[in-house]
Amino acid sequence: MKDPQPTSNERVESPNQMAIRRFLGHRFAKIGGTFLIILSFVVALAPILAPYDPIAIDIRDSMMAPNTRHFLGTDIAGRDVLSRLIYGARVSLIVGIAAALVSTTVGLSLGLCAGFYRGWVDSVIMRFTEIIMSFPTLILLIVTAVLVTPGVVSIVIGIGLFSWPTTCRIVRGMVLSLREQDFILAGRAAGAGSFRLVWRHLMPMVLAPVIVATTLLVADGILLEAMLSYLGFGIQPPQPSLGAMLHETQDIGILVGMPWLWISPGLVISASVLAVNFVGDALRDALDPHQILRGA
Amino acid sequence: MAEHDALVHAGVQKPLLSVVHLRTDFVLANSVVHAVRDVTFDIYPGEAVGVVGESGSGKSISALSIIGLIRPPGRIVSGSVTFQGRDLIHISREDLRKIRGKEIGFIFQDPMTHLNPVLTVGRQITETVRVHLGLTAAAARARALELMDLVELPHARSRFDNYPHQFSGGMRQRVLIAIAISCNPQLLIADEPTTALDATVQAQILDLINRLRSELGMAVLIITHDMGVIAGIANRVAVMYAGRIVELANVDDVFLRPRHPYTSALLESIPRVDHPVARALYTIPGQPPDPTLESVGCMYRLRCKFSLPRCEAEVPQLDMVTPKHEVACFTDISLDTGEPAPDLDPS
Repeated sequence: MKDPQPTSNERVESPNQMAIRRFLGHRFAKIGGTFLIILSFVVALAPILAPYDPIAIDIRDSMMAPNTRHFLGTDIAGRDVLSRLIYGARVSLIVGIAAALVSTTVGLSLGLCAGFYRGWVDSVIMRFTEIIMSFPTLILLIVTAVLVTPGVVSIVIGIGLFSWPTTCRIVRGMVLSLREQDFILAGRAAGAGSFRLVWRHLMPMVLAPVIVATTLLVADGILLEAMLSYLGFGIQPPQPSLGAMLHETQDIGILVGMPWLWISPGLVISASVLAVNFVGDALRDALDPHQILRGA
Repeated sequence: MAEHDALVHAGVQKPLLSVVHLRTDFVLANSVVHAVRDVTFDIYPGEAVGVVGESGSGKSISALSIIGLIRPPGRIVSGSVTFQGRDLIHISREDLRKIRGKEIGFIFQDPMTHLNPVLTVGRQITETVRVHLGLTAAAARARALELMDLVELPHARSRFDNYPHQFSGGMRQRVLIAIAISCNPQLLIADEPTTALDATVQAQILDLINRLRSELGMAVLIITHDMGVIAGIANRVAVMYAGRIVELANVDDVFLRPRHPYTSALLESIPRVDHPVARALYTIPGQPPDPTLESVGCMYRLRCKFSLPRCEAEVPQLDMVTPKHEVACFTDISLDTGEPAPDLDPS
């Protein structure tokens, strides 16, 4: 009198394990991921790894090409480029990740509310989303920088508060259809409240695309910070950031005469953005629920 | 059951659930669907009441109305639902939420879609007891394993961390039942619990519900369109047609002495083993009435062999023909049909 058991007791891969397996099958993602892990370690250990103080001026060593004492050379003020690069990458990475987290938190929460409660809540949130989307983010951040002295926190909040609409729209769209699923009705019948249904039952189901969107937002954040700092409205000197280092090379004489000042930060920006995008693409493939169904 | 009936009729026992003149509408852009037009019935502690009727007769909507799960554009227009002395229609949402899943369990038709596919089965069973009984994670896990044994899910321990897609339909229905009974409810509402399952599994699930009812002493409201399911589980039967209960009686009376022409037609349309294969299956002529029409007269009159001029003008109300047999019809077919009542063996 027992039901047939299609899978008996064998250990079945959980959806997470399946996703990890698929992710690791992605060659570029492995390269990108490895690069990001190494970069994270380097920036985390910046105080130990950086050979010099990134803001210590040493006029005697100024404008040196890469040599054995300064692997990546020094800038006009004699600051060590490698040390500035490590600390600069740390700022860029922190800004990128923190901005993505802020933006995901806002986008996820608003998207869940809009999709779940519908009606006027949805209308208000979606109109608000459209208003935010219609702002030119960069110009807005520049204006903000004029009003408030920009620092890591203000840039993170600035980027975070203007880049959530995509996440919000993705989440809302999914929740609108998921909320009509039978298991949500079953949850209500079992006495689950709205808050529980939204955060415990719907949130895990929208997590996959949200993770992908967050990853890509990290890349956007790094780029946006670099752009802002390059234009002089981001991280302020003498604090290093990858964009701020490029800002100091705007002079044509430096651009031509001291290429070591811009090649290395430029490469690190490109490489990290590329790496984050590779990882994002692989995550998209790994977490795609249709693929999970096919693999099962 | 005889003892139980005696208590009920002596008025000693109070109903667990009382539904009185319930009316639920769905207001659409340019029409109003009257899903439930007028439903009145009681459920006493420990008894099993079956609600039978064709698709669109308002069975499921009645059940969802009882636990307040009618969502816009649907709305309960009038009537009352009283559960253990509490008015479930005017109760606060929070109080109603605490009753759902704790005092009233609910099982759904399709076990494939009523479990969250991204959460483990164990997590979904423990969640209910944690919410309603405030158990710790460890106590909830123990309770969930106990429930999985109770609903005869094999290998509870190793199956605890499985996902719903790793379970068969019958096993998923057992999981839903485990969730529904997890807090020892006084009432279990089962909305077509066997419709999505194949015949052998249906029988197992009905056995399980029967067993749990006697072990846990809960009342069961079972909704189905399958007369066989009703025969196998219910003490009393409510036959619904077009949003109204047209006949309400003990299961034997409904099967052996139906008083409403619709009930009798339903019974006649059951395929029978003892009929020659060549004989065409009996079907009730016509279509169910348009649910957006206001009810004028008896909704069944256009398909009824016995309709009278009176049926067009007046809505027949549920009337007691015997103390335990209520019928909403102006004709008493048990008197004027020459045919013997169909004898259906419930087993």
